[in-house]
Amino acid sequence: MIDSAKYSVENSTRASRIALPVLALVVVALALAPLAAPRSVILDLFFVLYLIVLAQCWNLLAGYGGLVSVGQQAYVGAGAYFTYGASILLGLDPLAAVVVAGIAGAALSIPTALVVFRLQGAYFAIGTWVAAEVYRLIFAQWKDLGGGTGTSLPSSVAKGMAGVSWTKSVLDLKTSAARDVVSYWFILALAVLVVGASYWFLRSRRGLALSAIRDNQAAAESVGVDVVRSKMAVYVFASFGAALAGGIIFFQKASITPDSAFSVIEWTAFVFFVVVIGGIGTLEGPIIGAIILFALQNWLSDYATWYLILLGAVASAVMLVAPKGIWGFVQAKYDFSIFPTRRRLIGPDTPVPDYTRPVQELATPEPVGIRGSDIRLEEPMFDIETDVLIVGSGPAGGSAAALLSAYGVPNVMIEKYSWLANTPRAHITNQRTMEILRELGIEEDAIAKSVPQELMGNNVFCTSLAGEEIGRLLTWGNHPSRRADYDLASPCRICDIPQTLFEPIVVGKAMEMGTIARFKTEYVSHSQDASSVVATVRDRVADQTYRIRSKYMIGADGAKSAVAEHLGLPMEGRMGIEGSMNIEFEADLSRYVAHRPSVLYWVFQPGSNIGGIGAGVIRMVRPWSKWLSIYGYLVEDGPPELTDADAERIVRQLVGDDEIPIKITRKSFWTVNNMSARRFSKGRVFCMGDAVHRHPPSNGLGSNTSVQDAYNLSWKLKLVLDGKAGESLLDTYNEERQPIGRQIVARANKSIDDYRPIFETLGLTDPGSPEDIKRRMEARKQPTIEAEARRKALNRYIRRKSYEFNCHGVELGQRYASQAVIPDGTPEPEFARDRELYYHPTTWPGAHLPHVWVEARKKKVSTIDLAGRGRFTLFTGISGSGWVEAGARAQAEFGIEIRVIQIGPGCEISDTFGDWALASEVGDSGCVLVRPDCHVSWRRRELAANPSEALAGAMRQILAKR
Amino acid sequence: MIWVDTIVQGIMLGGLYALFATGLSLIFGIMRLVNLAHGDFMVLGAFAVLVGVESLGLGIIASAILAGAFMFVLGYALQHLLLNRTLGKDLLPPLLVTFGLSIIIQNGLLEGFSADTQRLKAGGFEEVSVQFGAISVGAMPILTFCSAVVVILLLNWLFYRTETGRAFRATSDDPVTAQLMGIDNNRIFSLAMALAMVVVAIAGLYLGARATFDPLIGPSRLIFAFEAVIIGGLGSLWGTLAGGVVLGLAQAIGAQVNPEWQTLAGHIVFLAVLIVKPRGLFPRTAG
Ligand SMILES: Cc1cc2nc3c(=O)[nH]c(=O)nc-3n(C[C@H](O)[C@H](O)[C@H](O)COP(=O)(O)OP(=O)(O)OC[C@H]3O[C@@H](n4cnc5c(N)ncnc54)[C@H](O)[C@@H]3O)c2cc1C
Repeated sequence: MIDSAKYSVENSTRASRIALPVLALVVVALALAPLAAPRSVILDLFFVLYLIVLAQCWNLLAGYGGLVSVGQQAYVGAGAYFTYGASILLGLDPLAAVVVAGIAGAALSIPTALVVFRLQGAYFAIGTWVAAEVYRLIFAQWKDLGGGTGTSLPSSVAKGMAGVSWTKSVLDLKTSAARDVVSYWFILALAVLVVGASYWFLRSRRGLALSAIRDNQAAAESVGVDVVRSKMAVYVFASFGAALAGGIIFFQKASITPDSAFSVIEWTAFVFFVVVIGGIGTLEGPIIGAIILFALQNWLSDYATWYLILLGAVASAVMLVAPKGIWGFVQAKYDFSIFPTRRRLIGPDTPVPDYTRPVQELATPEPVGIRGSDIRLEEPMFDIETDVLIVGSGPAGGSAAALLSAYGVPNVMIEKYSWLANTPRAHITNQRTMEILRELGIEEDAIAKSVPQELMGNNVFCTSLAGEEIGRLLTWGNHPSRRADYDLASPCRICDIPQTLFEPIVVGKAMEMGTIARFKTEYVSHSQDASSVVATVRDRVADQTYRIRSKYMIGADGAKSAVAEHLGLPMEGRMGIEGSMNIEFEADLSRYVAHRPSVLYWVFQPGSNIGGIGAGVIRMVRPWSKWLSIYGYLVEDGPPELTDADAERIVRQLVGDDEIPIKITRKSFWTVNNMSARRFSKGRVFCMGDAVHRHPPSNGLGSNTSVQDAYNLSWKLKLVLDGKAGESLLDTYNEERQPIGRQIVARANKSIDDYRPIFETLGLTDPGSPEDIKRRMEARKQPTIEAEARRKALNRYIRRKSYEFNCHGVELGQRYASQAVIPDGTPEPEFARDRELYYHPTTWPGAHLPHVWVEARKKKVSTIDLAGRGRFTLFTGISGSGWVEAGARAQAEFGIEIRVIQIGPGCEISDTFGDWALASEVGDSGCVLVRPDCHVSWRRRELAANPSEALAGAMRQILAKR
Repeated sequence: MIWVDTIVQGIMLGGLYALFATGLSLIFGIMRLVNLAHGDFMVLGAFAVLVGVESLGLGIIASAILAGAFMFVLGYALQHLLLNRTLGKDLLPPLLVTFGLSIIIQNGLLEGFSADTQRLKAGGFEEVSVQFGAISVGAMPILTFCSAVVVILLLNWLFYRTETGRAFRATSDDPVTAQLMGIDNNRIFSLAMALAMVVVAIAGLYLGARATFDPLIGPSRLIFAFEAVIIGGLGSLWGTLAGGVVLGLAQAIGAQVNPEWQTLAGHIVFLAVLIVKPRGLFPRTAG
């Protein structure tokens, strides 16, 4: 245990303790400057100060809030115009008018934000600019203030001001000079206010959270930060500052035009440059930038255009060479900060105490036992209520969250760690999973991050990557004879995405659609009664526990599931059968793989069959530079001590190259399990994913099955929560998914065993010296009968690996039998080919809706695109128009969406290729009822005598309504 | 009748905006570069044509071709030497650097050509108009619109029928895999920018021939271009054309109601589209 007394949290630095009093003196000196300095100096200072104000506001937006606005001129201009309006038209004292204008500007920013906040990134930038243009054009219509040509401030207005006449008498100045001094004081006060308020704000909890948003929106939400509210607060504050500045600037200028008040160059581009040159994301940067801009302008004052050209060039250069700006550079070099806004953890082993990422800073101290009270969380954690609580953000939990959110079910997802998967475990993403991503609208995002099918499939069996190739199997549907099977089965293609990239896409989508995610939050225990589940969870940042009350809970907490354990789900099989280690490394292996691109390379060497998943593996993570070696160890011995050097030795041994540069990036240990739950749920708690089926990665089914579990349960929860279906619909989750879980656990473990004969045939398992082994391996190349038999056997064993790598039937052919599936009396269609290797599409109730391409308004769509999406779909033909009315009636009776789709010539959907006519397996007047998870729940060969009654009867059973 | 006229004018205006927008759409689409200097590039293109006509004494077509070549080289060099370094996840570098470029170009042009307004003369062609029943449409607007269509047709041909186009699409879909397939992203991006700049030069030609211009009008034209791209959605260049037409129509109708509302009406339609369909009217769809 580490002694937490040695550590403390600091948020000041030595520099800051000296600098702050100095700064105070500077401010006082500046305030007294008008007593001594000539008017030109005051005007220069005025310029620098207003730049500081605008830059600081923009910095807050872009540097901290991540809101890169190109439209802050909207508020400068609005502030200026409101000031003129209030003083000229309403006769207000101009200083009061500026304040009113500031408030009005801030008020204006709220409706603007409602529009522009719908946009992100570049769109946000452009949107803010257009908004500013809109304001410019609107203000140019203000005829009382001169319309498009603008107006000037009558000198009587300034003369009558209390502040001005006082200054005139005290400093003995003319009216115009006194106006400058008053403006100067005002802007000085404003600068102090803005810098001070930013400083205070950034050190507050909300402020830290704001930096957190910039660094990582999703993670910030996890620490309970309401992102939109924080951004809104910053936007309004920055607009308030800009409007005040605009008011006082144009008061000082004494004349205004829409073009000058809303100038994008003047009020945004310059400000942008100031912030970047000085140092974005620091409070000191904008101040320094403003001073530099001023110096530059003075120096080149006779060459206005050259000054601007130089300014553009300098700012661009700084952005490219030192993107953190001058102050960022100073800070990095000297660890120096006048306005430290980040909290530091000071302890004996903390040589470089500056954390750059505030969220992690809150998160990192955990091992040293820092307590929440030190971090001073102002708001106490409170209990939360939601419809569904999801424990775990892996493939199962993440997709459950996304689907529930897509269906409009409120849900909260908790995750023990601070972020999503940090190791690339699952990769293979099969067609069913892609179909679900497609429904969620993230198929393209996934494809963008994936390695496509055609680069996946040269599954190599070798003695080392550089060594002899024993055989090769075209996998994942890449053999020409299998390619069509894969293409025919789905609108989507299988692909390969590391879990580290897959999870953010799914969880990101979930959060976008409304999932509330709380990271660093661990499930501790739960209890349930007839109407709710109360989970106790621990916030690991604040080290506080609180309770979440939900109507249902999902345990998607992985192979070491605490939820499944607390629920007492009965398990069968064994955990920890073999030991395995993942060694992640970076190396450019293209010279060994370019001619045979694949995601997996299997290495057969003496020893590579011990433990692990059957053989040594080199697994592509990112082509062809990031890799993962999987290597076994004896589980009885426990995970070995593995130094980077050991790891590198193993990797080199598998690669077979001593020269190539290799960088080990991570090592982790896991075990091969062979366990599944006999029940997946109890009461109001449902487990899914590895929590209930635990098996080795062979066949790549883990993450896929987890996602499909979620797809099965989510719509049922939705209907039951809405009161549209009886609670017993939820029992079908268990009935339908448990057999699948059990099947894939068996399949994956069997695949490991299938390596044994390959090792044996190669003669690698018998004892002997390396020479002996080499000789035995060479033996198969002899022209002897024995060698011939061996060659034949090897070929057979390698082909048999198709059960691991081309197992299309297991991947896509899942069929359900439960209350929510109504048999039509026909026997299960025969399997014409091997049922594990080949997918057999059918509309036999319980099977997945077959995919065929049909046409809708000249666009090819898949039948699968027509179904799903949270609703029931009833497919029929032209003669089945009786079903149309039946569908409408059932929809009214059950209050759920039932989409009736007639397919045929002249219908909205046409069976252009004639495939549906065959695939539907029913007559033109028959129908196929498809559930929201795309499984067929009922079908009729012909039109029923009373279609409405027939459909209603089926729906009643499926929805468990009696 | 006046409304039919307005609508025709609006559509023709849309052709001009589509031309403005095509170059922007190209680079935004291929490399996600938000080019704030795009408007100034168009102005630069217009000035390049002007130099050809006035200083070198060339015909307007020859000048335009020369300007196109100049812009091609400039685009390639800029992308290769400067803009490629700004690409990445962070939005700030491209915004700032192109803002910088914008100011540099504006002031460079001011230095070279003064703030006077200029116009490209098309030898009386501006005055010609074509009569369709009761309405008459200027030949220049028709030519502009047709040019937009031709430019888009050519670009589509390039994209879908040539090796280079395939490389463009591959890089924009997935730079990593593209690189894997042996495509040099850096070169492809430079080529894309060079190509976009040729389109920019064409846009500059019409910008200068249809109205007056001066070194500082770039940003306002940039906004129109952006609006057209975003209204259309990043799906296809035809979307950009449609976006241009929507914008042109909005402006023409706005102007019909009150001449001072022309630009405002365009902006408001733009914001409205963003609110209702943040990805534009014709986004790239799945499947
Ligand atoms: C080397 C390897 C390769 C693999 N390859 C593939 C493949 O190619 N294809 C494939 O489909 N599958 C593959 N898998 C399997 C796949 O990774 C898992 O099946 C999948 O991650 C299971 O998803 P899950 O959501 O059920 O659990 P997990 O991904 O384990 O997620 C569980 C989550 O719950 C969190 N959690 C745990 N306890 C708590 C708690 N008390 N409170 C809050 N949160 C908690 C965890 O931090 C974790 O984020 C592979 C696995 C390994 C080890």
